[in-house]
Amino acid sequence: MRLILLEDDAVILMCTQEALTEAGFEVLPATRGSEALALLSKFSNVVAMVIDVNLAEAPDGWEVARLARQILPDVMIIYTTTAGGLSYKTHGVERSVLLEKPYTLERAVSAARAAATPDQ
Amino acid sequence: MSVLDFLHAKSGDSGKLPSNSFIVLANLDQAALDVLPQAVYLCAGDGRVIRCNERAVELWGRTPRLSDPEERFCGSFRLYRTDGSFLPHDQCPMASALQSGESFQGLEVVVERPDGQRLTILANIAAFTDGDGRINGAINCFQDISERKCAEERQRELVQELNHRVKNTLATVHSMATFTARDANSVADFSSRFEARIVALSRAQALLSECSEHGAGLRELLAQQLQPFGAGESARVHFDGPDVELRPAAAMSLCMVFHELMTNAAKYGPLSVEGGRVSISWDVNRERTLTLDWVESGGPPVTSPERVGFGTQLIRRTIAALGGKADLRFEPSGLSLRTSIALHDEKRGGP
Repeated sequence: MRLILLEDDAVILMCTQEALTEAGFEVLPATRGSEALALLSKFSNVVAMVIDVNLAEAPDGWEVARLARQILPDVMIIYTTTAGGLSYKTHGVERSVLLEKPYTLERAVSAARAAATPDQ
Repeated sequence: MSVLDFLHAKSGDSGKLPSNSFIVLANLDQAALDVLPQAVYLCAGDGRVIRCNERAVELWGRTPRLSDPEERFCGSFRLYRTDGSFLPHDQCPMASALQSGESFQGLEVVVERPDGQRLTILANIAAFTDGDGRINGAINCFQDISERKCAEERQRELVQELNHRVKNTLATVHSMATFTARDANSVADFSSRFEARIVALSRAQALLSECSEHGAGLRELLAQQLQPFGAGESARVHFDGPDVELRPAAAMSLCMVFHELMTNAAKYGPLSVEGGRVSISWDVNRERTLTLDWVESGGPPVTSPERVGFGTQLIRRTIAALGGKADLRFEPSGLSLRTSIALHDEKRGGP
């Protein structure tokens, strides 16, 4: 199962990517929003996107998720943020989950698994 | 406040001011009102504005027509509540005071001037009653607290930003611990590597906090990352290049990159043997792209690592995250890294 991981902190990106890869996902890493969206347009069968909300460069994670849904309406969204759930209520897209940072790798993997099997 | 305090002292416990004070106030010399540092105005019992001082006119940004029945309760152009909703003059605190005879202390109201500028003011209102308990009028002493409000807002934002950064740093440390653990072959090995990485991270943080929000110099950053390796080893590290100011994200990332390279050089590379050297040189081109070469020589023969370790991954990923390129080579003569990173020009709105 293929997913896009958008995270601009190199260390966190590395770690999360490795954990998700070990869990059996094919992970496409991106460090900026435009890059993540380009990957989404280029690759088929992307089931989910793990999106860091607070990115150093525009567009931010909220915007990336909205644009991603225009490209692929079915893609599941997992937001990661340090800021808590407050803006999620107003900025998050439907059918998405929020993963608060710092997150354990187990949580990241279980969130990705849940997102990849939406029927459950 | 002094005028009100004085009047309140006269009123005793009732809270309502005796009406003779109102008559005194209403007849005060204009020069006496204008000398007050706070804005003051008086309304008659029916709400007409009968007196105001210069400071009030200044804060309102307009001069009300005195005693005009069309202009009641306040001399301002428009009023808003602190939540931003419109506040009609006949519902303002002064109107309530005239209706109920109540006094108000420390009420925050937003005044809009005719030019559209908005101020947050702090109002203190007292009503005056005559012997029969009828309300004859009221006084409002108010001051501009916009600056304080701005400072409070700024402080809230800063606390929020700090909170975000702390959590982000924790997330990085957490990830770094997980990764270091995977590479380590003993607890002691984990402990020393992890500690060194944390120290490198905090050095980067310290450098950034000294260098304000604009970033840090590449030269200072290099010198600082070499410090823990001692003078003997540092002397064999040569660096050469123009002064370059790095934006905070780039400075932070390069600190970690240099730390990984230096650690590797000291443990397995040229700095682990006599006569080995590290040469770091850089330049910036017209497009403001930084090209940096890290070249090791005179060390033990280098072989390509069997598996990609944390350091190598960190270097590649970090530079990719900055939108740069990293060419890391394990040549027999020594490790070399050529990296290019776009230095965002502040004037063009880089982060």
